[in-house]
Amino acid sequence: MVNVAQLLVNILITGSLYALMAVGLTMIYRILRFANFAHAELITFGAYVAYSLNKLGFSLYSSLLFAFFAAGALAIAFDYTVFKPLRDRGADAISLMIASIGAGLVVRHVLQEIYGAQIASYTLSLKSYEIFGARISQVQMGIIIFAVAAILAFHLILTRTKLGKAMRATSDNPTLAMASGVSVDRVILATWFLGGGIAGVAGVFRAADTRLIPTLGWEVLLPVFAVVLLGGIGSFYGAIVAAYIIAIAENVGVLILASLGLHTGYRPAIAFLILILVLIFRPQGIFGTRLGGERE
Amino acid sequence: MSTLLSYLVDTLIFINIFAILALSLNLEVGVTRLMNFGKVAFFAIGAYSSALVTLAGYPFWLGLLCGIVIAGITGFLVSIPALRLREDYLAIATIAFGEIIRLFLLNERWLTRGPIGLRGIPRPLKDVPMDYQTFYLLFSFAFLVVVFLFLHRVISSPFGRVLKAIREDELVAQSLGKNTFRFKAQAFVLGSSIASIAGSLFAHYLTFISPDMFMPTVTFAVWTMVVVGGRGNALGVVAGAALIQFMERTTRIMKDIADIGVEPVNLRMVLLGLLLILFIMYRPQGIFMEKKYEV
Amino acid sequence: MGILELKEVTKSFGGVVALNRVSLEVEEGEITALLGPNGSGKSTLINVVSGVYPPDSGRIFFSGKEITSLSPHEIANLGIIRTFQVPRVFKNLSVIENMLVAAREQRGESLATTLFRWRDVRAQEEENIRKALEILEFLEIEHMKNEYAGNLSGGQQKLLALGRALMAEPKLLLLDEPVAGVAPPLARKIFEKILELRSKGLSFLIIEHNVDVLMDFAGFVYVLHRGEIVAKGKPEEILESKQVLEVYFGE
Repeated sequence: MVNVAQLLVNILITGSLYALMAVGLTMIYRILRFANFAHAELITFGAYVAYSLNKLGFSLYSSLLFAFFAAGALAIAFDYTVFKPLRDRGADAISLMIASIGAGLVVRHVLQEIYGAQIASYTLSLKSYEIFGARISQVQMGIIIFAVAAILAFHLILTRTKLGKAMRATSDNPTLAMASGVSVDRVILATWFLGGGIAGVAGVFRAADTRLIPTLGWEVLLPVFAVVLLGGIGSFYGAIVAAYIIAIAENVGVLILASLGLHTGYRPAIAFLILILVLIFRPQGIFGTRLGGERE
Repeated sequence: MSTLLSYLVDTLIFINIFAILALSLNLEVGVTRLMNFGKVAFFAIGAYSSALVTLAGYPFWLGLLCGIVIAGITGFLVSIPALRLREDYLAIATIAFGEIIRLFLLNERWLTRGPIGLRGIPRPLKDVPMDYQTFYLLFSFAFLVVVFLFLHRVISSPFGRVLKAIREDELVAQSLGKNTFRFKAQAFVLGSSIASIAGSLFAHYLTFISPDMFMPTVTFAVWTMVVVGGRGNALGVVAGAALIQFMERTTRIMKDIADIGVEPVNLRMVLLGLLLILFIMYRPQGIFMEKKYEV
Repeated sequence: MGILELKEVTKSFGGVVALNRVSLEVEEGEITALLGPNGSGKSTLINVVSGVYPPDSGRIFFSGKEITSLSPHEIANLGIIRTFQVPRVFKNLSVIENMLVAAREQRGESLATTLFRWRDVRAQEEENIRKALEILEFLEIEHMKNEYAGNLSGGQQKLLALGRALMAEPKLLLLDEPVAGVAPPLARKIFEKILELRSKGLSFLIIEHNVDVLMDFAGFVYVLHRGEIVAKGKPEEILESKQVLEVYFGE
């Protein structure tokens, strides 16, 4: 019999992580108009920074802030060294994407060189609680709490601050935003930093919940793209909703797979399938608007 | 044969195999501008089809043919929805497709033996009266020559010209009466079938294959060959394959020769990533440019 | 009944009506002009006729055959060839290659024929090359045949685009501002070539923003304003029409 409470908990955890990882990716995709494959390494880098601090004696939770800043800084570094120069040369979306694949490869394997390819883990409390028959670890509670806090914080930034409004304007219509006096460069910087930082923290949580390896970010990147596209490129709220939809699809899907006698190793394929279906049938996603060019 | 010579022949064989793979990608990317990032999937289809058929007792050429047909059909089925997509969406969709194929190979253990992989893949013409590795070098080179000439004919024909026109401006090509979807689909099917040939040669050389040899990094490596070598220039792409494969094989055996202080795989991947970034930034058309058609 | 007929064609984008119940007719062997200020819907009309967008309502006929919902390549294969406001030449291909792409019914476009009947393909290629060089000479750009099309000047690219369209054996040519941005002497030359082609039986629907040049050459004129036909008639009539003056200078 299915433990519904556990299922819900798992969905909350998966969805929360996806939401945190997708926010930065979706905004950059919209504003800079390219699929950033190096986003995976923002996730991984945050996790490893926390790992190093953890090994030095910091508790996992105090290293979260460092992970945030480190990943945010790496994101800005990516833009400064690779993406902005390409943008200035008028590079098209595919060129930026290819460059991001290259950048991701470099960072991933530098990390692998430093930390090794083997599994690493944090020193943390393995305490877990039981709620309505569902088991949830302390880390997992942290994930959900942080996700709610981060989503709220981001929402407030987007709606109450000047920067947030500038980000929304740039996301809707970059040319109009620029013409209206919005400092697009500042918006881009802020988006990289915030989006990257949150992804970095998500990386720490994911590594804490599973394990830390150099492909930590890469192994979730395609599902995160599925979230981005399902929610609509550039839609913050869309990404949140889509994250939980895909979490439901994955967790329920695994149950269905098992009952059908299919291998549960196909779990990632659920997100991949959603990704492909969205691209074919509704590329603008649930909440997005067409970026243009989809009409063939 | 001395180890150094053996290493050289080994590298050349891999160059032949990956040059075929790169040429197949060049047809799609360099000539037609189809952003296929799922190349490894068809490489895997060729490898596994060929391996399974020959392991069941059938001859090599039948395995090769099965791979070509399965890859071609798969390519066609993928092209129906995929070719209508915008460039970056096509890229993402094909990466996802490649991963689905890899998951299939991992999970359908009854067929592929899953993560364990397939061992003891029979070698074609194994009783040939010469050093087998040298034979395979000539064998794989023969395939490379045939593929090269075949693609040369295709690309320099009116068919190839339409592909280039589609690359340059698809709407204009349509406005001149070309059913661009049909042409793109044919290019994609051809590219997939040729990738399968490379896969078969790969499987029969290594005699052992497993799903983790068919990760997206293979696709990225082949893309690097095309980006570096020169999009639309076949010889350039072969040169690109040679360069990248030389880098690959050299870093692999480096460990045995000298201690370079870094793990070979990391050095390899960082170099690959840097090559991609540098070429996209400073020489996106690649080292060798496409030849101009003149009368 | 003309070679091209539009009946009550309407097309909107988002909430904006680009074409509103447009009806017009292009007589066979005639040069019909479509005038109108920027944003009046002229390019949209060409796009709808050539199949780039389907109309929201209305019907389009070519030599009596309905072509309303056909795709661009199908329409081109019927003999309707269009050019673009910006000459969209294949920049990284040579001029002669640009021309050869447009040749019709090339056996070599079939993979099978290319692989197994190469000699037939070569023979047809030679023939097409000859035809292409002829057209290039007619347009006086034959000396650029081996240049990258992207290296041509703007005016030369317009000529190449026209040559490419001719290579496609059109029955009806839809030209979108064929001489925009072209120096007056070259513009006159282009129109003289158009007249020559008309005398060979080609029909034309030409969009022009520039009123003077067209008036010397057009046989019939439609004036489009905000997606509607506001005037039609012979050039002299149009020139004297108060409505047209309003459209161009009144706003």
